Amino acid sequence: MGRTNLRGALSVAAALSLASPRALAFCQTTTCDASGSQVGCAVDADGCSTKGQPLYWAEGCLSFGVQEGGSPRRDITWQKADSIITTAFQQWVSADCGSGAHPSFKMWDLDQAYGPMICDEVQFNQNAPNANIWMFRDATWPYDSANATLALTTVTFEVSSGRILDADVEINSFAVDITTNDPSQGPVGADLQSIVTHESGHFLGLAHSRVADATMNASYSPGDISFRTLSADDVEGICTIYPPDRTVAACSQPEPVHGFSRYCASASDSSSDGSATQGTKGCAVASMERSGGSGALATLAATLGLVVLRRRRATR
Amino acid sequence: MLSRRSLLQGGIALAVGVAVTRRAEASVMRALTLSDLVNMSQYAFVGTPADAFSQWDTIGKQRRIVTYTLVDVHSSIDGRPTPTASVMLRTLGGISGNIGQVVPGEAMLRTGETAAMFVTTLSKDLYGVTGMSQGHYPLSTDGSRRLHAITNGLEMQAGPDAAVHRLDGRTVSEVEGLVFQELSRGTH
Repeated sequence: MGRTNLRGALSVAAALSLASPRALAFCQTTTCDASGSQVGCAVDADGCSTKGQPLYWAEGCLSFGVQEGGSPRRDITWQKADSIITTAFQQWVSADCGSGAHPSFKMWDLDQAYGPMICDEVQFNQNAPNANIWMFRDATWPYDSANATLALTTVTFEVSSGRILDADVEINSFAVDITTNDPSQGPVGADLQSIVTHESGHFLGLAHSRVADATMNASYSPGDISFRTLSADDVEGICTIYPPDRTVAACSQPEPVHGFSRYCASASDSSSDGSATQGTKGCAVASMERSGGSGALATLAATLGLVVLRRRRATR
Repeated sequence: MLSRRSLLQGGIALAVGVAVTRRAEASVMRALTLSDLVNMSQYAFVGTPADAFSQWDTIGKQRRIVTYTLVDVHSSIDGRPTPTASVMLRTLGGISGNIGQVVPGEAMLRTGETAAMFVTTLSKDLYGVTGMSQGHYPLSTDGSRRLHAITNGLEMQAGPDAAVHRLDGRTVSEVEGLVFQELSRGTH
């Protein structure tokens, strides 16, 4: 069954099950969805975390930027990517929460004010400017299992409150045939607009949904463009996390945590815990490659350390 | 005497240098079939995460929080015994101090939760879960030792041949049979 037909069938099913206490099944990401945070965590029958602090953006003004390089490998310019990502966010911003109301946040495309993002790294700087950046990975996929991953969203949050501090999205244009055309224009591979609409949901704090026709459903098949538009489950999710009557400061000029910069924090600014210790607010910090550590010495140290670990364990 | 956690942290701190020098591998895009999963993995086993620790690391050029999990291996699924009785796995995301990172789709290894795992080598003595959540199947706790697929990733374009579909609900012994079938085809 195609997704369009499936949507129709599910709409009927949903109408017939209005009396159900839980007809929808969206999940909000919580602090329990982070690796290693299993203490006191639990999931319900839909796989949603039921413990931990729900993740959300506290501000009513959110921002994003698109890395300037776009994807030459997939013939996607920065302008095209920026347009598609803006359209994807617009889906969420304009969701109908009832009575003509919309979720209580707005999205700002900082590229339009400051120019495209220069930084092409996933970063969260605890003491230096930041940016929520969308970037393509043309040259390599920096993680394993490249053939199994379309895109990766990294959401950084404050553990005590669940407040989202930063979100960066990497799109696997290296290994994945990403396309931007409509089906009427030619073959569709992994549809960029579908991918970024889904990843935008993660950016905003939604986890995967078990509802089959939801944009936040885990399963995506190349050629499918139905993720471009939201389902009732997606709308319910975004309106629940950001209810229209939520009290937020008036939306004027958005600013990421610790200010905004189009540039990566430099290696010299980085402290041992991965955060930049200083930086200039604005667009003044030059991009630098981070050092990768001392290879041979680290290899030797690692081997020795793990041998010690094993011996300790063996004698317990 | 050092605590187990101290030992784990010490080993992890020293392992970081290896991790950052690794190059990523890649091939084509598609959901992992069982054949993919078996052939991309160095080992497949049933194990239980015994301890875990998260910290900031550099993966590629990306400075991010990752979690190192020490897994006690109980039995092999594919007949290839791991070189040691316990192995270290690295997954993306985790919590360091009051800062946390979530990477939707990554395998969620929970301490004490026994699971079937397919792992690939990241560097010497360090492994990753093959295909993120596609390589991690917690076992049911009712004694039947059935695998439970957690299909929580956009990357999972799950058709009928997908590993998550072929393994979900199977017992460990049934999975061993399926894996041996794949290995006997001589593609590994």
